[in-house]
Amino acid sequence: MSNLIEAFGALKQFWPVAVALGLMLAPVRKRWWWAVVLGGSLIVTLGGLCLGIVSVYAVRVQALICITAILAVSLTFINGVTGLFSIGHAGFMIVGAYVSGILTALVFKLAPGTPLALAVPVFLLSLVLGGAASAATGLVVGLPTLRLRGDYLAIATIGFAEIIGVVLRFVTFDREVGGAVVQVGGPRGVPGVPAMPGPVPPGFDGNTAGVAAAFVYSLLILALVVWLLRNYIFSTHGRACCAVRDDEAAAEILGVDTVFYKVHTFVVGAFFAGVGGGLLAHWSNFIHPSMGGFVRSIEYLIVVYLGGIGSLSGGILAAALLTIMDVFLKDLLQGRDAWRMAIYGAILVAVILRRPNGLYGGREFRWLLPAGRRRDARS
Amino acid sequence: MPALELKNLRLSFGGLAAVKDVSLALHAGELVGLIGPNGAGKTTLFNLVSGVYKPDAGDIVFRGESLVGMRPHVIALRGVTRTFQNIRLFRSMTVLDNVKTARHHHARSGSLAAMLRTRSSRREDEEIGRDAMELLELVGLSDRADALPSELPYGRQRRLEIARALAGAPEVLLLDEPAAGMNRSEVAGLSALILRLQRERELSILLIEHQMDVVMNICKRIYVLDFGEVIAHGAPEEIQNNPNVIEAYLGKGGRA
Amino acid sequence: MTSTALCSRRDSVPTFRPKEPGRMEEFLNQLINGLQRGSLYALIALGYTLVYGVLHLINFAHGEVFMIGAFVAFFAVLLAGAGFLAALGAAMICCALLALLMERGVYRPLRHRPRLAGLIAAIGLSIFLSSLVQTLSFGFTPRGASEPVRFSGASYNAFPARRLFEQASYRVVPGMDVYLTNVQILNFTVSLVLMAGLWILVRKTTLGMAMRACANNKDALALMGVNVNRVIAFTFVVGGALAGAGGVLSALTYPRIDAMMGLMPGLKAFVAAVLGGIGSVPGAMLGGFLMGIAEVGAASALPSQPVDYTPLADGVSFAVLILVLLVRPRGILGEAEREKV
Repeated sequence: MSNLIEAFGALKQFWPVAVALGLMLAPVRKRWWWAVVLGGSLIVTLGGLCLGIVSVYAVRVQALICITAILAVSLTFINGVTGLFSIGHAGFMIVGAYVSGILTALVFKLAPGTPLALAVPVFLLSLVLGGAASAATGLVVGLPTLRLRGDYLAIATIGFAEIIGVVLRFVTFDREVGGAVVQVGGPRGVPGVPAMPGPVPPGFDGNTAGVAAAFVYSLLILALVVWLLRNYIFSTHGRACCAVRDDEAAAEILGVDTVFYKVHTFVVGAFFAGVGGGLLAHWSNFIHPSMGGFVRSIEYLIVVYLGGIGSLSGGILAAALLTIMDVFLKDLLQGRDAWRMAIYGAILVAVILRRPNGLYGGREFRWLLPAGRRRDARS
Repeated sequence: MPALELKNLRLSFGGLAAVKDVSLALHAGELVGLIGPNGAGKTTLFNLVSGVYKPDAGDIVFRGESLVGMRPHVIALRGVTRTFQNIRLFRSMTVLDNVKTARHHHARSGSLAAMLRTRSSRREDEEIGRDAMELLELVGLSDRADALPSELPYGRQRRLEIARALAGAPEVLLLDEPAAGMNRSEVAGLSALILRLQRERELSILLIEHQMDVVMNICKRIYVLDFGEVIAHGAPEEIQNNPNVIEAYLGKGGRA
Repeated sequence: MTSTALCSRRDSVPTFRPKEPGRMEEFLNQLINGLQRGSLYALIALGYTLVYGVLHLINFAHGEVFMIGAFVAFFAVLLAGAGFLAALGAAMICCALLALLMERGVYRPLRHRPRLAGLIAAIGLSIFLSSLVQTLSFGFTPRGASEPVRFSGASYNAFPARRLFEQASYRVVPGMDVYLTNVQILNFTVSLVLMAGLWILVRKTTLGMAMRACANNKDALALMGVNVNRVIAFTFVVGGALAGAGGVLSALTYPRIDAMMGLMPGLKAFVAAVLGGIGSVPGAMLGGFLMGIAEVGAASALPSQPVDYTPLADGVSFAVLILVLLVRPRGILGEAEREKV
């Protein structure tokens, strides 16, 4: 019982998340509100960190929330906007994680001492390349599966993700450690992925600065990804994707190149998943094939369904809620991890049974919507 | 040269011959009817023209070009669009968006430009919106541009389907039972609309319909299909008195 | 997340290494192993195919039913001192009930919703069940033992195979070192009996006919006055019982059981069902045996020196899946489905 009270108490440190969510949910229709949301989150968190009213751990979790949100919105784009049953999303994520992590750790060998002018562009480049690698994977998955119907497509994506996992268990890399060459990779993963590069202001230690940098990168990239996806969804291309979702045959007959859009959706969704994966690799400072496994894919699926399929805002909301709940459960259960997955499974079933639209299905934050659009139209 | 010509089309599903040696011509600016009992193969013909099915034999020629083997969306881009027997509107999109989607091919900007909201992509989007709104006005749906299709009464949904088919700027329009389920006044309105569209946009229209007053009144020529074959063809008066047609609809000994 | 019970490491597949194995003997022994594993896959695949036939739903949680069958037998033997048949019966009954509960509680409310809803719910159910078993951890005293033993769902538990049978093997072909163990014989016998029983049920009984009709056109069947709910429930029951039997047989063969043991075999059996033609009962059997042979074949063909490639055999099933879906999605014996425009 005291465990419970303690765990609840520990939630208090995430108050910046509450502030951010409050800002996001505000019924403000103005387009510039996003600047308020973004700026507000940054100021509250970083300022709070400086003032000591926000814990380092909370900032670290917040970075993870942003990363999970990136994975969630990329998945909700594939599943919810174009209606493709893609369940192996962690497969895309892990490809980006590996490429990006290998690049910074083994190829460019970023280290805390590397000057920022070099480290930052290299890091961002590694993210983009990770995304590109994932996009290529998306192409490989999307092309052959074009003719597959719903549930078959779902199983195929799981199959592809498993194949990726199996392959990653065999791929090894050589790394120089103190003059000797060591093999990393394979079933043991790659440790030692560098932290995201950022400035260390006077008065702060490297760890705090690193966590703050991780948060800033993750938040800004999340904002960028959401902006790009939102523009896409509300454009003519987004409408084409929705048409494919609603009635593929009719869409094709009316002039929508469904093949192009299905593949395109996989490529775009995979790209962003890869970027998210790269961020995750640098957040956790290691990469392991199990990070891209079936269970991880299901976790993302749960985030997406809880948030409301097709809704970017829902993905962000659910990412925040579930990550915090995760932290809470870890505290409460003290390592009895299986309960966590059991609860997640139950949540998924409950959402599907009771509230299939999730928390925010079919809707977006008001400031994300284009002018004059009704809230519940899903296109 | 006819706008659309079907030459000796043949299509079988397994052992069942759905379309047997059908030939049909639609001249520019014509409004031609296609009637026949249920299961005669009328919608199958439309599906052949749209590219959903590939004929086992025969050809489909549009403006001198063969459509056989083309993917459906290419056929639509060439200028042949249609409505559906069972209404197939995009249910999660608004009325306006349904029409805008069919105008998709008019946008030249790529998806990257769309993501970045470049000026040209925004301009194109606005243009698409204006064009779509015009079409909605044409069919009398501009007051419901923001509604979801499920919120519209049946008759108006059918009109939306027509607006959507027009959004592709077609030369040939295939209408599959557009008056199904409509009452008398709605049918009259629809007939007027179809005639108006044909005139104003110089469309060639092929119309499947069961409601005889529509077909007989507005179609210049009529093809009658039964069991996948054309059993009669000609002006409405000829068709009405054709014994084969009467037999097909009413059976032997069922003279009107 | 690699498999445990039905994984492809050679040492977990009971093979016999004769002193100087000839190619033929090696082949025959591996064939027997492949068929044995295939029979397990077939039992599970039948459950998938039956449910898919009537509901067009991939019952993701089916692998967990298999797992629970193994655990029910585990406790039946250790706590109640049950013999093989009693343990098998207990497992089959419990799994049948579990499947029924799943249908009633989760799948039936979703019947008229889009397919994706059912699939997602099935995934959630699968995660829930396997995690739930993982959380269990307690001590108990097996019958006839003096000291309590710790049971933990999260880790491997030793299934008391030896309590039921002493390992014995029999030479199959005189003059050649090709063996069948008694467990294998039991495996084949039980599987074949169950499959034959299912065949009779589906082909010769009224209920079986109702099941087939249900798979064909549920609504028409309902309109003809048949209680479709009951038929569907029965389908789940049968599928569950078969999976439960598979779980017991698997536990006998690979006696380390844990909560996640259902995941991989479940996925692979699903692939087997797809391979044979999802919705087709003979297809599931055929697919199951083919998968088993393919997997064992791949495991023995892959080199284990200098790098141990045998875990790649796990990937064989997914490669098969992708291939089938691309080349012939309806499977070997399945029927094509056509969308009406």
